[in-house]
Amino acid sequence: MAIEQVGQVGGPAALAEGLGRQRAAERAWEGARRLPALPLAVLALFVAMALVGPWMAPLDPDATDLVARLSPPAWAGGSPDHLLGTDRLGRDVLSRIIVGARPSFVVALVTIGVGGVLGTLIGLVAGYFGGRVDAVIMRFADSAISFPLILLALLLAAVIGPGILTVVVAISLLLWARLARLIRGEVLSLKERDFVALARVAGVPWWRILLVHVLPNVLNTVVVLLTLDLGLVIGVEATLSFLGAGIPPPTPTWGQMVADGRAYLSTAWWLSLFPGLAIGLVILSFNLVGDWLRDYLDPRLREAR
Amino acid sequence: MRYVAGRLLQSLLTLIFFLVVIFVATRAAGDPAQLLLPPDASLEEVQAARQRFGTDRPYLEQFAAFVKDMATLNFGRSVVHREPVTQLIAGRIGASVSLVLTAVLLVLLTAVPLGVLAATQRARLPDRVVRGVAAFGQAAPGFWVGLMLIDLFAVRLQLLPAGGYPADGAIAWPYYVLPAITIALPLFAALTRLLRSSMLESLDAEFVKLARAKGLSERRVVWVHVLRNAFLPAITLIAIWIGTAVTGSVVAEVVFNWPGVGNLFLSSILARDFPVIQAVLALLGTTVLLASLAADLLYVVVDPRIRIAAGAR
Repeated sequence: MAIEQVGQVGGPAALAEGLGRQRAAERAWEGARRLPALPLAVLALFVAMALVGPWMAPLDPDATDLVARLSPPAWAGGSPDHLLGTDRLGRDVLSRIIVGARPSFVVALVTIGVGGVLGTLIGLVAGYFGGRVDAVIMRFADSAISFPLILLALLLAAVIGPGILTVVVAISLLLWARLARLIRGEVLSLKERDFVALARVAGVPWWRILLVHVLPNVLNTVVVLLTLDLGLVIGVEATLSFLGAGIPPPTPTWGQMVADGRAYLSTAWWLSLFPGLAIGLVILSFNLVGDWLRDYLDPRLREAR
Repeated sequence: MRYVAGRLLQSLLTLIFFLVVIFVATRAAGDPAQLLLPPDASLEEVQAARQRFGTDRPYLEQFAAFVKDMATLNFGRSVVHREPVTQLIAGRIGASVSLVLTAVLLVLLTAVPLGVLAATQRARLPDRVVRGVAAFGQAAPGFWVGLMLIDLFAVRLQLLPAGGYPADGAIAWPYYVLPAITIALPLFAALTRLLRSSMLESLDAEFVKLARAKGLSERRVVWVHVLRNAFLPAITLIAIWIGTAVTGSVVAEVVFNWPGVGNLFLSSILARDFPVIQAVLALLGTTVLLASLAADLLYVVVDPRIRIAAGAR
């Protein structure tokens, strides 16, 4: 059988390679076919709002108009000038939602950046060195994971005052831990592989092995986990803003808009409904994209979540 | 046994970690002697107050005193309410615990049958509906869900009270419905998703084929053999679950004006009432810790594989 195959054009190696390539192409096509187009479009829209919100908003989000205060959405008897109605000061709800995308996304990106870098580095080091270093780091990670995130953020808000810094510090303090645990697990098996041993024999320093040889192999895990965490972070930020411990006014944030609408629930339902929908839509989209990324890039993670 | 000892040690470390965080944070907020005295207080008065609060002693000694206070439930007096913190918490803890337990009961009663339904009816209508609700529950922020429930069921339909706590002698259950749903929704989402996926995995397993081949009814196979196995990963979820429930109950108590510990905690945060803050945090932190410890120990009891693996190590 093996002898027969040698006679074939290209030989078995080329055949296997061709099959592998075909399979990779199939996989890529399969992945692209299930691309979550709608959630990606929603996210693109919200990212655009965060980037150029002030230019996209139909009206000045801070302009008050006391004559048109608490005007309902356009289709519910309001004026067509204010598509989603106005708040108690006559400010345009739609414009405030558009401008309010920025603080949410800034908080999300900064915390994901800080938590992501910290978690990846710590996970790499813990997994690679093992032993006592690993034990100490993982005990810290386990402790950090079991601390309820919102409570820590509220505590910090009381100590250093509410604001973007408080939110970012609180969330990144805990975000690194979940990432570090998963990365560590991956590194534990990666470091036994030949390419790491070869690099070590060749005299490559440990930090270079980690950054150049190990890191690229765990990047998929990092990307998947961070995408799934983006929704979580936006939810935490909104909750803190709602509770009055997030980014303080006058910056419009979605959570705080929902809180403002609370007093008018029986008369002006649109004040709380629409900003809350925006939060939910963004989180849902991040979850769907994250689920897809996980199935596409790293199916093993399905177990971990 | 080694596994259990390791878990106990880890819990102890986490508890110390919690206490250090609370201690450092509340001390970083400033010397209570200076916070409580008028700004024109004389140096002697400040010194006397510092001696009274113990803030003139070294940090390590202060920490030891802090740990002792927490362990003996000696939380001091609230700055705002002018009442012992223990008394403040004792008056509210019943409302919080009964609400969270109602929510957990609600989740168990709904998520288990619906998770099973979704798995057995895979890709059909019931599965789609359950997964849709779960996706909504995962994404919708709790505070907003609470407000929308009030808008729908209290303001428009006038079926249920908009919030508050049942007065003595009143029918209590209507007051529990909306806040309990608010807390339950994210927990419901997590549990149905997990049950569905782990049931789908075991529906094709050898032991299930064997159970079917033995001639057991499909209902018995699904509800006894498959479900029992699918519940194992759900136990590990409990630790994360309790954290979500605690957070959810703080939010729900605020939205529904529920006179519980969560509401007390938020108003103390906004008023910077540190004796109350540190007591509530220590209480909630310990609760979360004990719950996750209980979950891990339960796992050992339920799943013999862990016992064997840990013993062989």
